[in-house]
Amino acid sequence: MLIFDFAEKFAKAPGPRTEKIGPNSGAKFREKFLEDWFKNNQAVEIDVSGTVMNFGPSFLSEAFGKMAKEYGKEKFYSIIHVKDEGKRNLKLKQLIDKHVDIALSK
Amino acid sequence: MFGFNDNDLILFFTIFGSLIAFLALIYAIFYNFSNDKKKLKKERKEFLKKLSSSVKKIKFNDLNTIKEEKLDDFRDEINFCELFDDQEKNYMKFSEKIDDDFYLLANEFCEQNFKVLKNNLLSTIRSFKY
Repeated sequence: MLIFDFAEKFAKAPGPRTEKIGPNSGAKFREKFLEDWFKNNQAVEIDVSGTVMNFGPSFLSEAFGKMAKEYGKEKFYSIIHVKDEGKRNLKLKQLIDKHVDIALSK
Repeated sequence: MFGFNDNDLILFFTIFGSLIAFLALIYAIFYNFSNDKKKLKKERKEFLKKLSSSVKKIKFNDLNTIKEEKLDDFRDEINFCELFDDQEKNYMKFSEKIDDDFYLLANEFCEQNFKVLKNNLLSTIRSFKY
């Protein structure tokens, strides 16, 4: 499984929904990383312990919610894993679950 | 005179008593439901007030690090609010919008635009239907 250090490879401070609003957006993260991982069936463990800011709901919905909607719950969780350690990772895990459920109920 | 015997009276009072107990139960359920609803409405109102207060606290002259901290706290508040379960989608849409609006506010460098964004954000929070 690929280990992805979010702060090192993407940003220390997750941004808003789109680049039009601000940098390091959910849309950019989806286009740059998530779409490739899903297309290549690459399982990933995301580690956000190096970030300095919480993820906002617009980022989560744009990045993870959209992927869950496109690929379904089973495939989503076969690809996306969050490191099971540290406050920021545990928070992200909880929020991703929430956004996946919301996206799939739409 | 009316032809009632003791058994009829016992039956009558048993049925009457059961009916009173049933109505009391219905009332208690309704009363609790109504109180829970009022309590939830009050908590939601307080939560939105708190959000407005967080928006009011961000100042144009705050250092960037302070603005980032405020955005961070604001995201925590909206991410982990559990008062809108039954209207989750509605709340999610709202929370995503105010997240982006707060982000724009925290990163605005023109004082006049900052004021406009702040007022718009406060107005969005005020007009949220819950």
